[in-house]
Amino acid sequence: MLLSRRRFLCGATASAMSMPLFMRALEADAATDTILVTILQDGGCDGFNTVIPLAQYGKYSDLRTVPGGGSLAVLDTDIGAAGTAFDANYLTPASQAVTYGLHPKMTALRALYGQGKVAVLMGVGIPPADPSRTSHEVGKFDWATGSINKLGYTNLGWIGQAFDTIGGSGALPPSASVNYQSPIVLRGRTNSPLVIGGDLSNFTLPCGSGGADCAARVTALTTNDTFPSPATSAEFARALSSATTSYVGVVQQYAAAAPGADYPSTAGSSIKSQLKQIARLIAAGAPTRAYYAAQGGYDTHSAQNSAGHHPDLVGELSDAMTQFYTYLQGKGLSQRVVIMTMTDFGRRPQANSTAGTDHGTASVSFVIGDRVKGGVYGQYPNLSALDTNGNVVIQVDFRNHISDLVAALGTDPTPIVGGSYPKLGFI
Amino acid sequence: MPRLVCIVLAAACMAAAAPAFASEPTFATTFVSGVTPPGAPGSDGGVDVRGGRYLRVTASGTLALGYGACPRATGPQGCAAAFSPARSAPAAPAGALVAAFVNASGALVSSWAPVGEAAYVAIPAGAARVVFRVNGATGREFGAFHVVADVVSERTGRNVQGVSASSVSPSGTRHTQPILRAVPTGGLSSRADLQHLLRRYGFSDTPANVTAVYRGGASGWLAQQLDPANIDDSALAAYMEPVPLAGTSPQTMNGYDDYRNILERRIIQREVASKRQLLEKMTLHWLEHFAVSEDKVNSAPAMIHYEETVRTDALGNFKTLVSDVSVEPAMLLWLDNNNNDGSHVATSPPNENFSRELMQLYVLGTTQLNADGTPVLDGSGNAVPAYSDQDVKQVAQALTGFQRTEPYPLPMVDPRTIDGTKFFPTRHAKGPFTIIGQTVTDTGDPTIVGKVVGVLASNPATAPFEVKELLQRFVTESPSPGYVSRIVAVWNANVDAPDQLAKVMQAIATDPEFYADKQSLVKEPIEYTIDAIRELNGAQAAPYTASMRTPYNSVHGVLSGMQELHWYPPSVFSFYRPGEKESLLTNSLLLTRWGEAVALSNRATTTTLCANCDVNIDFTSLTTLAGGTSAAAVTGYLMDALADGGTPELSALVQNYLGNNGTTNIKGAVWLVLTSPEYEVN
Repeated sequence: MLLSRRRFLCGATASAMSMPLFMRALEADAATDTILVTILQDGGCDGFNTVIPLAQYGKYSDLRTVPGGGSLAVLDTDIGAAGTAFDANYLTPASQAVTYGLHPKMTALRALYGQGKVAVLMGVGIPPADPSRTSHEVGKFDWATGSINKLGYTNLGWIGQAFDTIGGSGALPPSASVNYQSPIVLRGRTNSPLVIGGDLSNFTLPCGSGGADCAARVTALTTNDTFPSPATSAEFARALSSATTSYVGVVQQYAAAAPGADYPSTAGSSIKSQLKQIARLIAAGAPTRAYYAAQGGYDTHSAQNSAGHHPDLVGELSDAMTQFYTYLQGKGLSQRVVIMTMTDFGRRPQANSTAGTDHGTASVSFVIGDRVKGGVYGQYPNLSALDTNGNVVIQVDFRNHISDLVAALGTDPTPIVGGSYPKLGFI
Repeated sequence: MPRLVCIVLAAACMAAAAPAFASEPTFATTFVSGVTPPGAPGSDGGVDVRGGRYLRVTASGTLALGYGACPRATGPQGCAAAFSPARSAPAAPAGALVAAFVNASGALVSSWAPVGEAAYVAIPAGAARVVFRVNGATGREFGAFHVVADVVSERTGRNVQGVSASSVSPSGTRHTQPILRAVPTGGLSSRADLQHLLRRYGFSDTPANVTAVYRGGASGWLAQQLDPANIDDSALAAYMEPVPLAGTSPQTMNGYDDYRNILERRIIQREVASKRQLLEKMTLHWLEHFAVSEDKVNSAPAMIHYEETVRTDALGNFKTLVSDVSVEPAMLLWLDNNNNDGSHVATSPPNENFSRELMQLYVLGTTQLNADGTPVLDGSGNAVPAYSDQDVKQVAQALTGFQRTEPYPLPMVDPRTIDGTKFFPTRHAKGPFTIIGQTVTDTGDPTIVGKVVGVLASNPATAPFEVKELLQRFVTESPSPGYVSRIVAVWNANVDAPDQLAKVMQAIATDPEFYADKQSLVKEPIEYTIDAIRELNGAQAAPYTASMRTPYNSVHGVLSGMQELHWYPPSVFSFYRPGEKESLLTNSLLLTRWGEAVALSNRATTTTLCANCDVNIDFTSLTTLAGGTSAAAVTGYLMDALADGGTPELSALVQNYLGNNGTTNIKGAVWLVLTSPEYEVN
């Protein structure tokens, strides 16, 4: 795995170097392929409080009671007041919907749903075939690789593998992460992501106080990268260093072309800021075809409904995704972009003694975009038919979900997810 | 999440959670170390005296009168005066600390006797341990003693067991500094091997010190490092900020800044200046293994206490370490085991957060492992889970009933002396429990922690899981199955030994494979920074004084910029997963490193040292060491110090950059080495 990553880094550098920049920019402008934006809800999002089962409200309410006092249940009256109820038919007005309710803080997403831009996948999760699916590490790993990956046979992500086949074009890798980390989901055999952190303007070469000395330092640094490495890890560091210096100028060109001054405020929100950087790259015509962003804080074992926890997080995410979509719509680019959310696992229906929920199985996934067929997919898990661990039975295999997204990127998902699944039809 | 919660709020919360003030629990006279049964939580197991003929105990500590004397209305600050240790003394007040010998079953074989001056006491026949007890007079004492027990064969003879130090606090927290025996190791064949050892088992060193160690022999260095209690580290104290007292306001613990900065600076100061380098590296290992973030804990006393516990056990016994960490207030707060109520498990299931991570991350991992670290496979070739969700629930129930109860108001004492955890039987789910197929009996007291940890630690997956992680952090990301099994054998042979981890670390470094994969690990930002400072002989200009307002603040800033502040791991998974050090380098994080390398290299000075700065890299003395100020001499020195001699190509580039004057562009030259791929790895 590590070797192939290294091999790619060298390859990417060579191809980036060999093609004049202006040609690559033209190529990117002509592209009409789907751009996929994946958002990890890190920690295991409680699907039952994200999409509330109004049709099973009594059972839901019972399970969400905190025996020491209080309840984790989202009130159906609050859903009514916020107008976030919905039915499978997205055209049903919120006032008449009776089946589900988005969390009352997700009014922005509810509005998009009413426009038919949002697919809600119910009961998505990892099947019991992975006995460790309730572990963060295993859950995230399976979701990243698109497979039940108990032995760690692969560290390659489903998006990275898709681009192994599709290939990339242009001066940047086919995928990018905007949260400093290189997530497994974007790693392929022959490609690995561009990784940006913070505002695009941070992606520069820092070299001291500037001027001639700075230039001399950069020259020496980049020259050193052309020499062979004496040790294995230094080889990795050298390839990365070399690739990084070549990406800096390209990213700065795009950043300057789309400063995002007209983007709505992202103040105080990391996920909003991450999506803004993605929107800027898309608006500037970057050749990148898949992006990764992450929002932390979903591991709500205790005090789940207190400030800053689940309710605020889903509200923030709803606002962040909606402003991102609306911004791109205003630029005439929303028809290219598909947003999807994923999370480690769902949570336990029954509240625990510390007013939180523990690790469970199925959660909910949103897919958003002009190419998406709005509505509900899969069945909401039956809260009266829990398994021996008190968890719901998953309704949509996560591999089926991923399978449809890989297909939307333009390649055969079968070898990646290790099987063939019927199309869910949301895209 | 709000990070700045003032002490007044924290105290109020504690008041709400704790029993009414009038019936404030007393903290004295009841704690007995090491009785029933030895090694269980609530006791420290005492000190092993087997094989010795005489015992010499020296104790120091404070015994202060607490509670009752402080009117609640005066609040934490007002109480500070009342709590000033009226009865404290450098040595224990006569009779305040008593000791007795017990046999292997924990039964007394002597009467309790006061611990006096450093006098030799004959060890009675049948004695297995010496245990200690705080013998307060009024029932309202609190405090702690640091006990050093020498077990010797002759009154003036050499140590049989080495030195043990045990800190005894009245209400049950204890730390046993294990007996660490120095064992000779093989000599090293090259200076590069030695530099490898110094970088992996410490934070590297200056070329001059590398030479000194090389002449003295690597085996001697390793033996010393494995026995940190015997390394005189007294010089360090002068360079460290004092530990803030518990009762001071967190916002201004040293009169001007926030305690979070102090915590970070203190650990940086240790890593830079402590002679106990392996102990610091092991402490870092366990702080990453049991990653706890101050962001959620939000308590200075809890974090300071936690760090002390981890450091105390870092080279000791794994089960002791896990048991101790499990009931640390910081851990209770971090993974939601604080106030976890097990009184109604059927209708109100306990929180499983700590239980799950205890098994998955802290002790045995998700899948069953063979002794060589490879996964156990079932008939279909699939991995087999190490535990089930039912086990998670059982362990969660077993560990209910603990509560963080630091005294209110926080006394003006060293936070490391505060025992902030209490067990409430009424909130505990009574056993027995079935954990991974084993029945665990339950007597409804804190001994349940040791029992649970004992079952988990005896799981066949534990040794290979832990050993593999140690090898991945200290040696290679892909240790061979043979290497894993050799170290697992040492782990298992010493599973109850108080110096188990020292023995394991010794075996790791004396295995031939230790030197097979040099420069194969990406440095984590802490290593990147501390190594550079040590290799370039960076230091404070003078010992710490109160007027020195920001010691190590710039290093703090460097680590913050590179997103690796010791106390802020992003999650329970720490900064990176074992075997994934390369994940620390991405395009973005590499650029961040280069930016922070500017700050680091700017500490290099050829002029006046900054008196109040945390780090000066004094190039006037370095050029002396380099043998001149020529570009060639300085380049050679930098290559030797930072890059194991470097590559000819990098040398040529740096020398060219420096031109004909070795010192004018020294900051740029240091930056060039720090940003080279050669420096990124160790």
